[in-house]
Amino acid sequence: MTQSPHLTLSELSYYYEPGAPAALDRVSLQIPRGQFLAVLGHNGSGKSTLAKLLNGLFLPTQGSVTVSGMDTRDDARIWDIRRTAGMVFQNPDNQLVATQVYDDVAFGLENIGIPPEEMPARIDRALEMTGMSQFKQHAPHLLSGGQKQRVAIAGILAMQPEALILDEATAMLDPQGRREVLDTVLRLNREQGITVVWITHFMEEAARAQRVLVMDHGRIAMDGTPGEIFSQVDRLRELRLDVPPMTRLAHLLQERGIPISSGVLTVDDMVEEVKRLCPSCLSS
Amino acid sequence: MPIVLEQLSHHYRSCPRVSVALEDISLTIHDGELLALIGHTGSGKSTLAQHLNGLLEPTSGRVLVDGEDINQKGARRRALRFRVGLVFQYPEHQLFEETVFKDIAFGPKNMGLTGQQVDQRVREAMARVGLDFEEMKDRSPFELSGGQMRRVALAGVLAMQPRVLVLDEPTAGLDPRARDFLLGDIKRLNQEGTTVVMISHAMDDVARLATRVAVLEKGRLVMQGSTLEVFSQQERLAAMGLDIPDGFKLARRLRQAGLNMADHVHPEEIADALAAAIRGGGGDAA
Amino acid sequence: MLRDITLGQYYPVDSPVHRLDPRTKVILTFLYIIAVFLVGNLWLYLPVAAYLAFATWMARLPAGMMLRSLRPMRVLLVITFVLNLFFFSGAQELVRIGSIVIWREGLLNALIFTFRLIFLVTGSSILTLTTAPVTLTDGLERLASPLRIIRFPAHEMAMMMTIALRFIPTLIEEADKIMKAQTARGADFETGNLMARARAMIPLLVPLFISAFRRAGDLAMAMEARCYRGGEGRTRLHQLKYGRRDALALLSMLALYLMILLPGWLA
Repeated sequence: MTQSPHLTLSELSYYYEPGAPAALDRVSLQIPRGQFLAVLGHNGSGKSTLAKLLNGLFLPTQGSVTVSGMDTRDDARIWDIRRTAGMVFQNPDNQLVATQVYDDVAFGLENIGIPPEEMPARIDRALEMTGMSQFKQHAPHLLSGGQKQRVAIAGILAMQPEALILDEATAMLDPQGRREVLDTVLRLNREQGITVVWITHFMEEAARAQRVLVMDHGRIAMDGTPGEIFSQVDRLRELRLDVPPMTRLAHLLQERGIPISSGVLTVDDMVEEVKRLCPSCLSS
Repeated sequence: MPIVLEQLSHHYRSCPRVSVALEDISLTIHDGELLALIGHTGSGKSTLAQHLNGLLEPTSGRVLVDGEDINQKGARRRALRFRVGLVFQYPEHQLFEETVFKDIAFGPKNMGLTGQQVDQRVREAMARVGLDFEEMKDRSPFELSGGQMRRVALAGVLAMQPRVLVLDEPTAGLDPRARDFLLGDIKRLNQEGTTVVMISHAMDDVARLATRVAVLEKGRLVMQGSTLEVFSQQERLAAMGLDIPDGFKLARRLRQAGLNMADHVHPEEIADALAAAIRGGGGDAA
Repeated sequence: MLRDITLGQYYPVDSPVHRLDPRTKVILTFLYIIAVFLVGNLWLYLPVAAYLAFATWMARLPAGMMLRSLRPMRVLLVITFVLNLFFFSGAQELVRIGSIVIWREGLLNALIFTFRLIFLVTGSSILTLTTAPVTLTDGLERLASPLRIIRFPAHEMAMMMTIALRFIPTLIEEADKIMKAQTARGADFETGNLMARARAMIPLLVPLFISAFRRAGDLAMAMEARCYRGGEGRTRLHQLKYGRRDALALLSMLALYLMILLPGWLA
């Protein structure tokens, strides 16, 4: 993983209308190429606004956003920016355009003027990478939520992006759909080196990221590895956020005087900690 | 006012996507309980919920509310709907009035109550979901936050003062704060005597609230019992591809590793048991 | 119930007619309609009927299905026939019942107009039965694209049709759900007089419109994020190509025209 900044925000402020409170307030942030960044924060914290600034759907009121070195305010580069940083939205029903999966994946390619003879190979590959190949003839409204989101991701992959921005893409899905989508994106990040900005309400999803950002009142309130962030249970409560259940359990154990480490995120972590604290407890 | 489902089956006629078939379901919903209905998308949970207040009619079998078959000829189904309140998924998408007050008043008005009674009902319902009457009554429901809109929609059903409240995925799409608020409201309503049936995918929410859990798979009722009993059967749930709360997963992993640790539902109990086990060096934990 | 609505009437089988270029089928339908209007003599409906039978056979469409396309028209057909029969006067009296006279010209006219309607409806239904809505949209867009010179928004119209086709099932499902939710709050959509029923629709229609607008907003943003910027500079996945089959189909239409027009020229 190279560490050159891929997405950069500098002193970025955004106001929905003049005089309104800042949706984003002088935010500076560098996201290295290939990083999986999760963004947390309650509604109104500015995380969705951040997403829409990252590919030029919104333009900064002050400061700047650059994507692979291109400034989003540069009119001439805006379409390059959007194909470089693809975006998946919350409602799986409201982002598919065509009446058939295959045609929908073609939509972006048609928009950026890819020659028709190059399309099938790109579409097939994108569907393969998202595990949706067997659904290419399906009508979108007959798919599950998780499948629709994977079609949306395929539509972006066909454009060969360098970054994926997912704005609460799992909020409306059932647990199975959430797993499907997160696993797909984690794999794309790992295998294709695609930079990921994953905006979510679900702490257990954020726990799987390389880096977690917590937004509050349009500013970055916390920034660190999942272990660093979730060990600060009280601080997260102040920000009206949850922690993953195992982190909460570790906190409860600490309150009971057990010297358990604060970085526990998953059941695996907890089992390891119990082994460390009480080797005689476990036979294996 | 118990609801009894007797060998209920439902077969769709025209469109398999709108409703899922149900097969031979017998289930009693007891007064005052908080029953969670879990299962995959498409397992028939929502179809079952729509039978509880007569929105769907069974192909065979009966639904008895207070001993009365709600689908027999002459049953007053409309009156039944005021006793069994059904809150759909994303209920904020059904709001339509200009003001919060008018929207919540829709149900009570349909009941034929007087203006004064309606006013009283709306005030009570808003109080129960933590909405300030004076501050909110004249606002447009469409300028509220997602969490507030959902509470307005919930108040719209509560204003009919149903004795049973059926909630389909009440926390779907909410942020953690709004989810906490809403779960708190539901818990309080149940403690104040309303029977609650809650459909949910969020197993940690279920563990936190439910007194009993029923599991549906492919239109059949495959398990029912106390929350502890159901979640203790991890292999069966896993075979159905269903999640279980992390606390149960942990207890199972620790048992496999040789630690004698029992299943518990609530985080505090789990912490107590685990702390005792660690202190005792694994000797006798419960 | 709302959910019983089926979308379009595409009959998905593989046939030479199904495989025709959608533009050819639109042009054929257009020419066919003109041909039907040119017929002013009952005998000349014979070649039209033969052509229709031939097309139906080539398209592998069951005859029953063609007749069914007339069902929604049955009232109109009866009215057309009756009006022409009774209110057309002529020279040759056929039947007299009291003060009502049926003239020979009236009967002929009634038959011509009724057949004209029947042939129009069944003939143009071949287009929708053999062409998937999306393909049809493609064809219409490309046929209309020369009209861009006079600023006719051919691409935009086609995009609107595609999106409508994509979202109608979603909105039908949504309407069904809202209806149930309001029924659960004691709404009554089924009883009362016309006014009461119209008023009862408000709790259904307002949320449905709000939802449609929300979806439209979401979709517009998603399309923009996917680099959509109108028809300019766009390429298309599906390429339309005229083939030998299309030429033959157009020749068959020429044959129909000859059969209809020749008797007049010869006479």
